[in-house]
Amino acid sequence: MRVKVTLAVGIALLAIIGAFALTRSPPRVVAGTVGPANAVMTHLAGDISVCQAGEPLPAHVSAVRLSMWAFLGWKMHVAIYSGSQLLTQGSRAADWTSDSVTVPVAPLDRASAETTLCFAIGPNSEPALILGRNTAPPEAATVVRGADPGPGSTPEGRLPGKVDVEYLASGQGSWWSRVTSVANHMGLGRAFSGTWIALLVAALMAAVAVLAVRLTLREIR
Amino acid sequence: MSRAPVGPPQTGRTFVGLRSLTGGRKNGREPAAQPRRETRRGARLRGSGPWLRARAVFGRVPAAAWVCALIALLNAFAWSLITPPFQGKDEADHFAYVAHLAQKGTLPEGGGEVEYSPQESLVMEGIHYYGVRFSPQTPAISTAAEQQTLMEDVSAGDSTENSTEGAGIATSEPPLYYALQVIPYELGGGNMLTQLQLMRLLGVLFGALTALFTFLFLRESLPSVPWAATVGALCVALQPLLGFISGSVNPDSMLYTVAAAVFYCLARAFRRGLTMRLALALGLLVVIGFLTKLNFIGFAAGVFLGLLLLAVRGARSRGRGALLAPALAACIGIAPALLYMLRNAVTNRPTFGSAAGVASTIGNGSLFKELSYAWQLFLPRLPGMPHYFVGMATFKDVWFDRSVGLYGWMDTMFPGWVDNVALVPAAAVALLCARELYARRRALRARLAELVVYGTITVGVLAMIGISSYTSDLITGEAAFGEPRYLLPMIPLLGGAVALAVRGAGRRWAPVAGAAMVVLFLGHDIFSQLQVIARYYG
Repeated sequence: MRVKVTLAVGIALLAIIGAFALTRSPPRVVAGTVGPANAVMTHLAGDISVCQAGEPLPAHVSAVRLSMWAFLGWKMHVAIYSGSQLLTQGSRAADWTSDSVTVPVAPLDRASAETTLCFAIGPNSEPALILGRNTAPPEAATVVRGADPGPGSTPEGRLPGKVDVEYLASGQGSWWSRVTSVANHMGLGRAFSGTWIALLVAALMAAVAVLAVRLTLREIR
Repeated sequence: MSRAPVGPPQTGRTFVGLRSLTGGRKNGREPAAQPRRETRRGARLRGSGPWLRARAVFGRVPAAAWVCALIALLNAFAWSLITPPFQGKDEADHFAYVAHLAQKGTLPEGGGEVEYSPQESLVMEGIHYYGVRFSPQTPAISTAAEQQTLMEDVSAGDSTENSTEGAGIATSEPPLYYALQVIPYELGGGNMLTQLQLMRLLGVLFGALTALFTFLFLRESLPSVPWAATVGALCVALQPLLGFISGSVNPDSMLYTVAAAVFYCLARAFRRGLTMRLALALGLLVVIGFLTKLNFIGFAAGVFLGLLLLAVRGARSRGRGALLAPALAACIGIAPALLYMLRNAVTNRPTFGSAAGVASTIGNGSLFKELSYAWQLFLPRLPGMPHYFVGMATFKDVWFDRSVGLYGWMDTMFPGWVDNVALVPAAAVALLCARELYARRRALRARLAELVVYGTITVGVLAMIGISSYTSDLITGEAAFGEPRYLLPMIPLLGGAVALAVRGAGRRWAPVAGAAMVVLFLGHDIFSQLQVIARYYG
């Protein structure tokens, strides 16, 4: 009886968490660079702090995505300033990989047209590839001293351009409202196309769940 | 200390019970006499020809084992449909190896460079391969027009022969897995996407076999509470990383199966003795392992230690005659390595092949650095060691967080808070497992040799990862190896940890802990799939 109750409660919890997760919206890009980065800003194996001015910060931004490549990512700290006033900031542990790192920041109710975005990498010993696009020197990002950079930090040099940055906010439709389009999307890019692929995946996982529950009920005593 | 229930061995439940779990029987249970009758029938059939003997052997496998295998199969099949073509790790290179083998009938050669065949390049362009991989913000193709272009690319009829002799990262791998993959490759006709899906299905089959052997290993090594072993195997069958790798084209899937089968044979040998038949099986499995993936070298060290310990134990109890079986297994197992070295020596290549480069790094005074690096790749740095992973807690940031979720081309992970929440159930499992091990310390002492072998296998696998990562990271200046899939040859031990944790919950709460564990792994699997779906199709 206790096994049945545990399974029932557990599966109900999974269903509730799943249903709640699907009420959330996928993040959408509300500002930032368009298209993939086309230049390497710097390549190093150590710490670096960078500030770049002229960044628009829309309201309700919940994360900042920076273009940089790593197999084993590093600790990141991001801070956004208006003048010398800190608007928002966030951190990310050394737990990421791939060609971008998304750092969550505290959302703001109002937008700021002209901000300075600063980020610090470190402590780090992994090879870091920072990506962006070349600009005229006055617009380029500045390398600054210190692990907690801000607009007042001592500049040490400039990158050849600006680091690609995307500002993310919550999307407009929930995952629930996108179920059909996601199912259609799953049917593309294969030898056999069609929404039935999503249905087949759902049926397979339903069978997995039923078999797992029945086996558990049968075996545990 | 309260104890988990010690039920009667359930070896009598045979595959006939599978019907009751898949809905074939209305009451969900078969009569108690049925399993015994099946076993006796199986015994009668033994010796009546190979087919009937095989049926009898399969008939002795408990129904629950088949169900675990079926669950792993369905799960991996779902993963094979969720992951877009060529978005499994290194899948394009593994596909190129198979294509090379099928087209030219020879093994790829060279330094790891690859120029894919015109047809493969065209299909990769059609699915926006280079734009999607490593870019979590870039979804898979999403419009009917892109699909139309892809279909035209697939049927373009361009050459399927690789333009170079290499197969990228897969070039140095042994050929057995790829030779088997030639069958689905050929069955797929000229459609590259069909070929890829059929090749993935072979991996799905390996996933099912891994779950099956894990079940048998757990029943053999933890026989006193059979249902706890079932829970362990069920959790392995639901493990999402196993599903993801088995659902893509990757020799790791076959390596996991071989590793699980070796664990089963070793457990059987330590519990029942190493018979000639078991020695033959173990020796052949080692051969298959060597021919499947180079990583097996690290795994094999523990297997040979196991054979040595079995030989010593056998000689003490039964005299020199008992040495024959371990010697047979060792000779069969080492044969491919010796033949490989002989072939290299005769053809003026480095005697140890691609392993020579790794071995040479040990000999030039860097052993301490190498050991320090391998240690820090998994554990916190000790005083006196050079600092290799500054600002990183590798055991958490790399191995734990990525075990919680790392899919696709290393570009799909859970948000950081999920990794932190996952520490709670992981700690609970570890504590319950430790409690059970402490309570059973006398039994552990009696099985010390067996445990040393499992420990040596684990250390061997970790050392292999560490040395390879050192070479790649510090010598060739590429990347460190930080993917939990390298740890999955030890997945039967994960099942064992789950089974021990269930038993560690005590007699009263063990069933609840078992059911909770199944729900936990099921949830982990489903949410991992949703994460991948959101990443590629959201």
